[in-house]
Parts: sequence; structure tokens; C-alpha cells
Amino acid sequence: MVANNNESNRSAAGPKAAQLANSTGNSMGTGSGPQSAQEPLIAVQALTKTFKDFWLRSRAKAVDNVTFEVRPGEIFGLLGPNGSGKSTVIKIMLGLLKQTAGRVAVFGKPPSDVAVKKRIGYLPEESYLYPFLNARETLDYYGKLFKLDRAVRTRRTDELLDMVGLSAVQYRPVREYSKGMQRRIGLAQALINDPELLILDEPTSGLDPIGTRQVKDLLMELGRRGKTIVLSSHLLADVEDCVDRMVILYGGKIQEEGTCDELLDAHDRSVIETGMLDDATIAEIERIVKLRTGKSIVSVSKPRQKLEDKFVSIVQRAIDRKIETAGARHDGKTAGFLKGDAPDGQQLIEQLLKADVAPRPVAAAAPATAGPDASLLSSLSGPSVTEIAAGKAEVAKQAAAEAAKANVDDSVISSLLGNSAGPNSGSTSNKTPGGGNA
Amino acid sequence: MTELLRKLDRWQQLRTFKIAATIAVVLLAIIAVVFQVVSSQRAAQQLPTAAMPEAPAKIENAPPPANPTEVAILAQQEQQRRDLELTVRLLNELRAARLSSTSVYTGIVSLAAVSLIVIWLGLALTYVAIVAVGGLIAGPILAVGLSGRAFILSAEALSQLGWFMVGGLILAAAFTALVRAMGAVLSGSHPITAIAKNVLAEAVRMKISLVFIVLLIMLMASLPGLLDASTPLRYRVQTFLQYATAGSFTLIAMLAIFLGTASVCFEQRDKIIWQTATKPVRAWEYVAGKWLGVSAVCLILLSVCGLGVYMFTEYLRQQPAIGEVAAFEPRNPQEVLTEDRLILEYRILVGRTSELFTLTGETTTAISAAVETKFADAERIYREETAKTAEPPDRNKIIKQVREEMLGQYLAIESGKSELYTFTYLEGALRVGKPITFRYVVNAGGNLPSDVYRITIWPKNQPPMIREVHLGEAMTMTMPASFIDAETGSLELRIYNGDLANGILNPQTISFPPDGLEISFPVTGFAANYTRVAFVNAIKLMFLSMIGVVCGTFLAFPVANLVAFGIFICAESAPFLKDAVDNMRVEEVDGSIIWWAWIAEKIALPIAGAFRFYGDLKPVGNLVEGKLLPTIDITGAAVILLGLTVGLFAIGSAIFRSRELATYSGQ
Repeated sequence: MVANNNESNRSAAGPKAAQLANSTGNSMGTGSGPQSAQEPLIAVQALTKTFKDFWLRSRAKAVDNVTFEVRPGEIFGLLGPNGSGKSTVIKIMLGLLKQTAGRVAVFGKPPSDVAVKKRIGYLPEESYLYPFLNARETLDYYGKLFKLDRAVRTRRTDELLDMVGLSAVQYRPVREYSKGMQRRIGLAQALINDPELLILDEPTSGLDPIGTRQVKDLLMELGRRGKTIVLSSHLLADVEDCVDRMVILYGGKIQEEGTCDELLDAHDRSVIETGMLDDATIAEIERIVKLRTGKSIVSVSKPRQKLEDKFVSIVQRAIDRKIETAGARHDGKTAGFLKGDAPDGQQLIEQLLKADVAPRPVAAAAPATAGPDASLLSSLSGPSVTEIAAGKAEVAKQAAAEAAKANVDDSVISSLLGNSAGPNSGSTSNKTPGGGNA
Repeated sequence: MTELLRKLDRWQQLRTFKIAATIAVVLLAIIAVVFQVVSSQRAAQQLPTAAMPEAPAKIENAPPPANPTEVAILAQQEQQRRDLELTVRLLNELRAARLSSTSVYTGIVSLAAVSLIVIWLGLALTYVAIVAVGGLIAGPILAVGLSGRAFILSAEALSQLGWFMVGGLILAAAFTALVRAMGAVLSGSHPITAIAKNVLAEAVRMKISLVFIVLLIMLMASLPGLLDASTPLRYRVQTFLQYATAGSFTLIAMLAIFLGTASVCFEQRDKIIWQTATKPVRAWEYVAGKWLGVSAVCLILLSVCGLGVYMFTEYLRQQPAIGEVAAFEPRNPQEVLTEDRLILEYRILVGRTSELFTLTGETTTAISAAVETKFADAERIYREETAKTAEPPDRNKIIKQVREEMLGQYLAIESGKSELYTFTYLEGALRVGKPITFRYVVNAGGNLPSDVYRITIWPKNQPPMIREVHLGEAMTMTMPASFIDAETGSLELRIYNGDLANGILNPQTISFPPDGLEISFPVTGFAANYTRVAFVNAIKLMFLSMIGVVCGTFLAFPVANLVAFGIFICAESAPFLKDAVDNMRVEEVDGSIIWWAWIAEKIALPIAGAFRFYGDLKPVGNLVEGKLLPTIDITGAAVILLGLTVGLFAIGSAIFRSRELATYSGQ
């Protein structure tokens, strides 16, 4: 189930495209943008939760006056260290806890409404599963809770088991599974109803690097299909790769809120990645940089291959050599029904009656104001970028065309530079799960 | 090994396998039927019939004989004639049924049908394995034991072990089939059935509940081996029914409570509930699903035990009774049916209804007159009393007092004298035509165990019967239904305090308690009565399942169990509690209150009152005595118990809906 790099890049197109759009200044920002006109899918207002002891004395204020919204189609991150209130917020959103004060609406209704729960998939921070059921029975059971027909349950169970790589061990009781395998089946049960809203509490916890990458790929694929995802994690790298927007909690309060770019962009640095250079060239570049900007190069390094990439490639080789494993397999493909393939009867009718879910917005324009200085790039890259450097409008036009054509966004800078970097080549402002990062 | 078993299990559930196995079974059944047809044509069988031995003629409207010796002779002759009339027909019917070739066909078809059910339940290989284990392990042990040879263990121990294993395998086979069948019934795409089926899986796969199930199967399988073959057959049957029915019910009830609380409590403790509660499942659906699942497990076990008990009882019925060389064949050729067999067939393995004596018109008039006299006296005294310190006379109190006094007089017979007792509403017994049973308890003096009295029971227009009685003990005797007056549907019994035939008088006055004279007669067979008992037990178990589930919704496992078991014990012991409180002294002789007794009474009375409907049912006691559980009692108890179950269900659902299922993770 190792996702190849091309697929990783494709799957990253949605959020990244949105980030590119954000970076041009006409983006969602902290609440504005094209989706802001829509009703929030989750509305949390002044939410407070105080836990009390047996004698009704206040024991802990887990959430304190938290307000945020999650809009349809976005991947939203709830970040914070342990005990910051992330899980409590999620449990209130799911009706597992009752708020002490404030209001929570999901799909415009109280979280306890059963109609709301039909549209939600939930993965708790640990996979709490019936130990005596096997994987197939587990998925079948949760499918029944959604009143899915037997045929639909069977098909989805097969696809999900294949997707999470547990087909070969589907008849083993869940109690015999490793933590990672239990996590996989937990994720599968959260998807059995093809939910519109997916709430994932620490989804990559307990997963191996390949599983982690698969989850991230899956999230981005679901995001492309217009699913709304709320993601809680303290593994910041995972969140950074996926989410469109996030809040950072500490002490039960929101400390920061915004898009990845807004929160993470470093506006005082530039990174240039090329092929291997000799010392003379580096000295020459430093001279030009100093000449043009008066600044020195802070560091020059030889990038190492990411351990994750190395790990994935090793496993991929093992899979290619058909080495048997008693655990989860890693060559599963995303379940068809999650990709919109082979729709169920009801879905088919719905699709015929109305247009399919709108695709996530892709970059409408390349960066116009941000990014490296074009003249500097020109002097560094030579004649190949001369035409591009002729005008920012032309640059934007080409970048947009490139993004639309390849459905990837990390080629913008490469095209500006005119080099032929492969899919692992990094970008100045975005990262992908499979892509390199200078 | 485990993986191989899982593969085999999946294999036996494949449609292809089922179709192939079905074809094989049908072919075998056809071959068996053809073989039976051919063999039955070769040997045309003559059904043996029991000849009616000569018996003395019935005495019609004979006047009471004056000579005691004549009375004794007449009584003996009448007893012989009655036994013959009653049993010959039954015996021939039973023999005919056992030897009929129709029953062979029925057997073949039944076996084929059961095999097909097993195949389509996906248990064909499981059953093959069970048969193989039975044949390879239990079979040889049993064979060695039955052959009378000892090998490590004594022959008797070996045969008992063999039967124990065979019984256990049969029960296990029935259990697996019923579990699979119930799983198929609960396979719908609805949260309630899904949750129920999950509980079923939990019950058979988790070690905690499996312990109960294995214990139950072992208990049931071991009981037959504990029966003493030297005791009368009726006692063996009664002992087995008593222990098997009561023991299995108690174990299943404990499992119902345990599984009900565990299933809900552990799901909350282990946070598995989060996954279910975040799905579109309403609180009432969750509670209903859990209850349905626990009830389903209980019903399966009850059915397995019920089938086991019923079939083994029928097996025992086919064993020789005391005085028989083989079942229904008395050792004495003059005897048609032994006493042991008679009591077993007409008093125990039946459903009898009973009637107490009716007060005659004279007695009722006398009571009324006495009441009026006494009330008038009381009023006069009250009017004459100027101080008016006493309360005005209470008519109801006087009626009760007079009635008790006169009833006591009516039920007491002085030595050498007699009293007539009439039993009415016995038309049912006439219709059934089977023997009726007269039960009587005689008290005299201090009911010394060493005292044996003799009384004469003389039915109207029938010869008298002399009986030796042990004081204070319930005695029974059987009479033909023909003793009942066909016109009035009543039976008149005159009871003499003494042996009228031999002129022996008892030293003291004898008396009967108010419920100490009773006529009972069979209205249904054992199967129907057992079904009623099973129904009552099922209702009780469903009630207990709901108690377990509801306690689990808001209490931690140990506390929930404690509360649920407390309720169970209170309910089961309600009649005992009521009797104990009634006989407990709350005041000292000087009128001062005994506080501990007073407190105990105040606690015990509401409990006893609340669960009286539950405890008064006594299904097992009635079954062992061969008494029919009255329809009205069953219906009443079922309505009350189901009503309470619904009430508890509403409470549990409300609690569950209002609960916060997640907890503070920072703890």
C-alpha cells in the first residue's frame, strides 16, 4: 500500500492549492474567502467544559471559552499539547460530553441528534474495539448501526479491509492485532458510512511511517472529494501536511488560529535548491547575493534523504519481492466508495439528481507578490527564465496553467527556475508527504 | 491449529458445501426409508396387547356394610378392579406407540430435518467433530463401563463418566446450533439486532460468560449420574426435575445478571461505547439491543436445558419402575401397573389442577347464624357499656373469627366419629377420565413422628379405603375419576377417625389444616406443564436481564452486580420472607416493641410485597409435584413482569441518554 510519490503529490493538490491561493492574498484568510459564505458545518461558540468530581466540585476546566468554526470541505486541525482540551472539544462535538457553557452545532443541529451522527465518522484517540470480534465482523457491526444493506456492507467491508491492508488477517480476533493494526481497523470503521464529516482524534498515533503516510494521503483524497475533516493531533508534522486551517489550543484556550501559511510562513528567509554545486559556484552565488542584497548566505548544506522516504522505499521493495507478512499489508488502494467509484444505489440516484461534490479549489493564480526576487533568480538561473521574468502576470499565468495541467503545485518554483527537478523536488513554501524539503 | 479451525468454520458456511451436504443427507434419508419399507413388509408385526385379568365386579350403590371384615374385602377387590381399568388402556397405547413403524419413519424424517438444519446453520463439520469426539472418546469409555469391566476407574464410574461426556456433547451441540440460529435471526441491519447479536457473540467468546455456560452444561450432564437407581422411579424423576430445573434456572439467572451488567459496564469502562454512541444509535435502541442480546443468550440456554431435562425425563420414564422387570411390565403378572408407575404417570408427569373442599350449605348457614348471634351480642355489650372505652364491634372481624372457629370445628374429627367433605367443580376430571389424587394432611396432638394413625376414607357409593397416616405429613391416594358424581361434578368423601374395617380407633381427635384436604386431577401432560414452567422461567429471565442491563447503565460493574443480585435474591425469597415476617414476634409479652424485629419487619414487608407475584409462581415446585401452573397465574405474572421490564427499560434509556459517556481524560 505504499503510495508512490506521484500519487502523494497528486493527493496533496487540494490543500496545497488552497494554500497557494492563500499565499496570493485572495485566500480564505482567517475566515474570509470563497467558503466563508457557506454555513459552517461545525460551529463552536464560547464553549466551556468544567469537569466535576462526585461532590460536584470543579476539578478541571478542560475547555475555556473556545470559539471556532469548521467550514464544509476543509481539513481543520485541532492542535495542542497533551491535556490542552483537543479531545474534550471533539467529544463535545460528538455528544459524548455535555458542555458546561457555550454552544456547539454540527450540521446546524445539537451533537446528540441521531440524524447528525449518520453523517459523521469518528476515530477516537485509541481504537476502542470489541476484542472478541474479528475485523470483518467489526466493520459489519458498525455498518449495521448505520442500517446499511447487507450488500453495501459486504462491499464496503471488502474495500476498506483491502485499503487498510487487513484482508489477509480479517478473520483474526481484533484482540490479537497489534496497535497499528487496531488503528487501521479503527480508521476503517470510521469510514464505513462514507461520512461527510470525519472527526479523527490522533489518527496517526500508533501507525508505522507507511501507515501514517497512507492516512495522510487518504485524508487529502477525502478532502479532494469535498469531505470535511477535523483532525486532532500533537504530531505537528502530520497536521502540517494535511490541514487547511487550524487552531492551536493550550490550557483549554485557543492560542492561535489560521491557515498553515499564515501561521508558518517565514517572511525573512529564502531557500533555493539546486543540483550539487562545487565550492566555486557557491562562492560565486554568495558574491552575487551579497552584491545584490547586501546579505550573506546563512548556510549551505547537502540535503539528506528523508528517513521516511528511505523507509517507504525499503518496504516497497519488500512488497515487490512478495515477502509475506503476518501483519497489515501496505499495498492497499483507497476504497472505491471513498473515491466515489462504484457508487451505492442511493448515492447514484443522488448523483444523477444533482451535480457531484464540487472539487476543492485549485490555484487560480501563481504567487504575484511573494516568492523570490525574479531578477535574482534570473541571474542565478541564466537565460532559461528570462522570458518568465519579463512580467509577473506572465509568471502567474504560466504557474496557473502548470498547476492545472499537472494537478500539482510544487512545480511553480521549478518552472520559474526552469530546471527539470523530479517529483521529490521541494518548493519554497509548501511541503508534501512524499516531497522533499530543502 | 486455531487458524485451521477458523478455516474449517468458514468452509462449512460456504453455500457450495451446504448444497453438497444437503444432497448427501437427502439421499441417505431416502435409502433409510426404502430399507424400512422393505423390512416392515417382511415382518408384519403383531402389536401385543395387555389382557384384562379377571377382576371383581363393581359394587353399585352398595349400602355401607355393617361387618368390618366385609368392608375390608370389598375395599381390596375394588382396589384391584380400579387399577386394572385405569391402566390397561394406557399400557396398550404406550406399547403401540413404541412398536409402530410410523414412528420409525418419523424418526428418519426428523433426523434428516435436524441434519439439514444443522447443515444450513453452517455447523455440519462442527457436528461431525462432536460425533467424532463422542465416538472416539466417550463411546469407548461408556462401552467399557456398561460391560461391567473396570479400567483405572470402576465400571460404574466409567459408565457415569461416559454418560456425562455424551450428555455434555449433546448439550454443547444443541447450544451451538441454537446460538447459530439466533445469530441468523438477529442478523438484520438494525442497531437493536446488531447490538443484540454482538452480545450473543460476547457471551460465547468471552471467557467470563463461557464459564457460566460450561458450568451449566456440566451440571446438566452430571445430574443423571447422581441419581440413585435403587430408589423408586418417581423419586428419581422428581429429584432430577427439581435439581435440573432449579439449578439451571439459577445459573442462567446469574448469567443474565452478570452478562447484562458486564456487557454494559465493561463497554463503558473500556470506552468501546464511544464508537457505538457516536453512531446513529438512540439510547433506547442501545438498551433494547443489550437486553435483547442477554435475553437471547438466556433463552438459548433455557432451551438447551429444557430440551435436555425433557428428553432425559422421557428417558427415565422408559426405565423400569420399582416392581417392574421392564418399563410398564410389572414383575407380578397379576399386577397391571405398579404403584411407582401409577404415581409417576398420573401424579408427577402430568399437569394437575386442584380443588379444596367446599363448605356444605348446612355449615355455611351455621356460620352465618353464628356470626349474627355473635355480632348481636357484641353490639349489646357495647351499648350497655356506659364508658364506651372499647371500640364498636367490627362485623368483618367477627365474620373472620367465627369462620375460623367453625372451620376448625368442621375440620376436626373426634376418635371413632366421621365427617363428610365435598369437593366440587370436578367436571374437568370426568372429561379427562384419568385417575384423581386425594391429598390430605392429618394433625393430632403434637404430631409425634412415632405416632401412626389409621383413618378410613369412604367415597360416596364406593367401598371404604383404610390408610395409615404419618401425622403432619402430606399423604396422597389415587382414585378413579368415576368416583365423581357425573351429574353434579362433585365428590363426597366421608372420613372416619379410625380403622373402620378392623375396628381400631385412634387415641385422639384428628384435624386437617384449611388447605389440608385437596383433590387434584391431571388436565395436561408433562410436556404441556413443562412448557408452562419454561415460559415462566423465560419471563423471569427477561426481567432479570433488564435489571442487569439497567444497573449497568449507571453503576460500576461491582456495584451494578451487587444491586442486581440483591434484587434477584429478594425476588426469589419473597414468599419465604413473607412467611418469616408473619411468624416473627415484634412485641414482647408485656407489649414492648422488639426494635430490631420491628425494623426488620418494616424493611422485609415491602420487599416481600413487591416481589410476591414473582416468588409465588414457584414453577419448579409445581412441576416436581405435577401441578399445573394455572393460566391465570402465568398471565398475571407475565403481565406484571413484562410491565416492570418495560418500566425498567424506560428508566435505563433515560439514564443512558442523560449520561456523559466520556470521562475526563486528564484523570
